[in-house]
Amino acid sequence: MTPDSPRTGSVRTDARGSESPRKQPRSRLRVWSGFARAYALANLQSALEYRVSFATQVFAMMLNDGMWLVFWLAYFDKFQVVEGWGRADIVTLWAVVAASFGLATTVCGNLFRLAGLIVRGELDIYLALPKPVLPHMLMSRMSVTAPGDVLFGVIGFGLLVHPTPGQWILFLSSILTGSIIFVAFGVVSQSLSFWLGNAEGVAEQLTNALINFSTYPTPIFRGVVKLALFTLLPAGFIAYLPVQLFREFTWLRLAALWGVAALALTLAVMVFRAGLRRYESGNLVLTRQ
Amino acid sequence: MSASSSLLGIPRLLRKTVAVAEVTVASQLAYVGEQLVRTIFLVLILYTFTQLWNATNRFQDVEAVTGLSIAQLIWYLVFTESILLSAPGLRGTQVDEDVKSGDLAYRLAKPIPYPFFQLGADVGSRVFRFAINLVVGCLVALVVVGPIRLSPLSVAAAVGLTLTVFVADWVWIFSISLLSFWVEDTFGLHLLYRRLLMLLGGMLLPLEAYPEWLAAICRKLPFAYLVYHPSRLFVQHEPSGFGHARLMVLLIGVVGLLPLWTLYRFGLRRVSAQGG
Repeated sequence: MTPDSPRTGSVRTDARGSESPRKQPRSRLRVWSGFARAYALANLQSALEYRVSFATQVFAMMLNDGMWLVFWLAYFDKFQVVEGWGRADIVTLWAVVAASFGLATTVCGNLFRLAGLIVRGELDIYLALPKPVLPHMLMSRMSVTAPGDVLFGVIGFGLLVHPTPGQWILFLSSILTGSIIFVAFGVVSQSLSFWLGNAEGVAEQLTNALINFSTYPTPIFRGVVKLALFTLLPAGFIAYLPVQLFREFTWLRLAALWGVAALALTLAVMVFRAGLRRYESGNLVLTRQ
Repeated sequence: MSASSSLLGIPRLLRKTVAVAEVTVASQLAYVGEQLVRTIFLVLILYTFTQLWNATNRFQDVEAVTGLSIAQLIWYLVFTESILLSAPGLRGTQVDEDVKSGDLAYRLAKPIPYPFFQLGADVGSRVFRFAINLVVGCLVALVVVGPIRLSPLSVAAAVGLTLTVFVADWVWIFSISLLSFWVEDTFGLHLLYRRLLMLLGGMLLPLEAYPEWLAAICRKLPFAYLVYHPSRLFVQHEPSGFGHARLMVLLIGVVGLLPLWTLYRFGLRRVSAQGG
């Protein structure tokens, strides 16, 4: 499963795997979107080889998310409000977080497997490819349950929030920023393996923590934990800020959200590149399946 | 072999199963540190729910609505989470792996029937994980909400019922895993089963805190007997309802033997051993 060569072969890379600065921004965008599209198509075709299993897993994930929503609806049946958040806010939160996570792991299905690949010395196969290592690693796999998260988010938001066209645009924006932050966080936490050795367990716990804190109303947390949710574990930017945008839109908040997403992604790329310099090959002979 | 001799062999089989469980627990003791790391998620959940209930209590009296104080709700959550977090991972149980890899063919040659071996191994490791989760959960609950009055008799009844729950739950988990003979990946089915236990079993909220319509549905379904009833026993002052709950859990396990036996019999026809 490799992207088709005419689209990807046109990018010059230097010895460290970074792109040549001579590339024009417009054509670079076209090349990268072609790269992502080719991988997405190949991954989807691969998943569709087992159609029943794929459909079952997508459906199961939608039901899984739906059950969490039922829990919250049951909660709001007995308790009207929590720290000023009502039923609509929780539905929005779950729709945004589920769709963001789903989009992140549909496109970058290897996101939460990076630590294992690093520690087992399985990066070699990506090092020789004519593109930076990180996008190849991230996109060369798709989580087959993740489309269920995306579908749940979109359907849940549409059916329960009854959004206006403007809110749909805001929803799309929130999904994009949320998925960028998920990817950035995943890359940083998984890259710990470059320094700590086997950091699979630590990275898994950090991911669980991020998902956990993202799916509850941020205002219930206080003090140091709240501070952490806007720094080390950026759940506040995945969940709280988008919901606040729906409650009270300001351009400043929107710009801040995109700024944080861009900053997180830049930081993630820097961390991964720094880690990659420490990578030691396992001399494994592997084939990509 | 006559039916009577088969029946006479059952105690011996059960002794072997218990021996497998003991060996599993003994081998798991080498990984206490790893298991402790895995309880971080439990700590997070308990912390999150303490914050949620405290935040809710600032607007509405939680005890008046649920019939349980915040401390009791958190201790209840300790028990429900300990039960469910001790369950095997959703991705690839040993049975799934054995079926997919074909190792099942080799395991069938062991001097103990495959289901009994797996019963011992799975329940043994689950008991170990449950004990670790419960100890850590109780310590966290002590820190975040303080102690509550626990009745030793109720605690003993809750733990005893939970051991029966593990066996009944195993019957259904094993049956789902056996579907690997026919479907590529049983993750989705395991996930659905686990979420049904979570929601309809009353993992996050006791049934008293559910809307009446949902609580009525949950009380009629078997899931609450696997989660809610043992956990409610744990926090209540007297072990009332233990007998009925244990009977129902046993019934759930016995009823589950039918799909298990059917799937196993039909699944074995698809196994082909080629040596090597």
